[in-house]
Amino acid sequence: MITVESVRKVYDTGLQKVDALRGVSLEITRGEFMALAGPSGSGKTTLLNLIGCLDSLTSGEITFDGKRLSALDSKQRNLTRQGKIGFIFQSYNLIPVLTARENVALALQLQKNLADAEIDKRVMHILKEVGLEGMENRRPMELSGGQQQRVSIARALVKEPPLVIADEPTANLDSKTGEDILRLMEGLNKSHNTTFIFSTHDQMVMNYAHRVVRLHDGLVTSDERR
Amino acid sequence: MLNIRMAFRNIFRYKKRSLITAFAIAVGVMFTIAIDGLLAGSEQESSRNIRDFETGEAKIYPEGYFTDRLFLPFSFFLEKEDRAKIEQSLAGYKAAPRVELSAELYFNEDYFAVPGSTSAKISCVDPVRDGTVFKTAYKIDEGRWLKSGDEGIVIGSWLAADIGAKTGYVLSVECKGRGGFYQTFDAEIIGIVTTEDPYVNRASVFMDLSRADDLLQLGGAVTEYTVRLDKTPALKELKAAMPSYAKNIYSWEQVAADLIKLTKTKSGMSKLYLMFMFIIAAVGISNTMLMAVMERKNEIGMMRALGYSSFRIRLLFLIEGFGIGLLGASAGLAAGCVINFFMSVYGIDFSSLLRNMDAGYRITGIMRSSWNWEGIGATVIGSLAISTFVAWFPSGKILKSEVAEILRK
Repeated sequence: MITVESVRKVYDTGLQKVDALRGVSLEITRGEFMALAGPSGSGKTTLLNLIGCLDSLTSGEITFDGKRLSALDSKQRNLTRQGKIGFIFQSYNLIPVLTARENVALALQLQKNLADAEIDKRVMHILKEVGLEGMENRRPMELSGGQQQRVSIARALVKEPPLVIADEPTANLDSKTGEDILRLMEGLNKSHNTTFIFSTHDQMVMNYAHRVVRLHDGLVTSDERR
Repeated sequence: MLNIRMAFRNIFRYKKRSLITAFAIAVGVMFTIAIDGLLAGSEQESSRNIRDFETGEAKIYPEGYFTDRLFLPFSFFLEKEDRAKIEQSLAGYKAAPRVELSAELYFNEDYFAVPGSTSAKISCVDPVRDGTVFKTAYKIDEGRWLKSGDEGIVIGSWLAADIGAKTGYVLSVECKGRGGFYQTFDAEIIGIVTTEDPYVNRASVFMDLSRADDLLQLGGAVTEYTVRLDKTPALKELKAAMPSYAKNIYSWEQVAADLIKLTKTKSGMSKLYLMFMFIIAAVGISNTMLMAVMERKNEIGMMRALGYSSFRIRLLFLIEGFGIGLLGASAGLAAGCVINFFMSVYGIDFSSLLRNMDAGYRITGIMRSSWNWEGIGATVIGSLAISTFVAWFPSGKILKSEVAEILRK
């Protein structure tokens, strides 16, 4: 599904150049539940951003469903994100003026030929699946951190993407809520056969992953399947 | 629909900030409507007064007079024999002949506490026909209007007040007669007029045309005819009806071109000030939107990650800017209309100001607003357009960045 070949990413701050990734290669197949682990600054988020078409690489290549991401222009990367990738952020990034239901529906607004009734049906279904039935009309401020992250997961999954990218999805949550969220993600991974790639430096989170790829200073140091 | 709902809810996300920005727009719209209404009202009243007391709708001048008309030249005349034909052509029109000239008025110790002299414009009028064209005859404040054969004069009330004149007082008038000789004669003030035209009140003297004909040896000639017309096309008909030697017919706009230009310039300047006010409001909106963009970087990044294009995200800010503009424009429209209503009914009394200085408007006291619907529409649409337009820019820089960079910031 995803092939990462000798990927390099250099950030040019103007004052200095930082090698965030120094030649990373990986193969990711459909339905994996995979963790990118490593300390801060190891390149986890950078790799997630590149796979998720959120950033452009310096050299190397990433192939996603047979498409070379380096060959895509901004519009095509937009379309790829729109149709094929769901995102879960550490700080949830929900829109505070929208209800849980509207936040999730936001992901479907760009889907053409989808009637309002169909959008509503799919939103209600996914909210039920993540355990937020009855809370759909609450705004983020009226939800706990764990519930907000559930909304964020629902938003990532509602368009049924083959790939979900989660950047430290449990970092802002207490350990129990974090585990709940991981169990939920694992369940959704199985039921939807959605590929999950998430970054973490938390051992508990790594324990849930079926595959752990460790990064250090922009290089893969281990790739462990369980 | 969800996007529109989100944009409108975002307006109230930072209530104080949005309301302050909307308030700035409201003040701009309110002042624009109020000042525009006042300027339009003043222009209307001023032009009405010019026509009622100075120009009518058209003037027939002798050849060569028009260019120097502001200096009241006394060397161009419509002669007696030509007048007969002109009068024939004017049958059916409200028209009146006049001789206009400048003069020096002397007031001495016999009647006046402080003797001296002052310049004035003398209008030699047909007492009856003048009333069919001008309203001056109906604005007598003290004494009476002229009668045919009268030896007395009627003067403007401000002139009377300035020199301390009352009816029954006698003034010595010195002016040039036809051919350039000097003529001096005494004239009793038989009436004082207070019109809506400050120029008439300040410096005008009226006397009977037949007496002026004797004193100034005019031989039946006049310097102009003033014609009252009902509608603009009538001017073309009038021109067509006139004999070939009396084709120097000018509309009131041509006669009062300098005054109209001055009024328009004043309006233009006022609009310039209002434009500055709108620029301030536009900067306010731009700043509000810039703050919104900075505060919502994560949301912008998230929406880009969902696949929203830069244009669609910008559209949200545009709707938000439009919403703030709509809020401000609605409040400003309501407040502006209320002010304009009271200003059109009660007006502002500028009499003390207009009495002592020439503001360019032919208005003596209360300046009233009128309803300039075109201007009101343009103001509201303009404020909406500006508030929407300036909301386009603040998000530009951030949307050019990679999504990862937006989220990292």
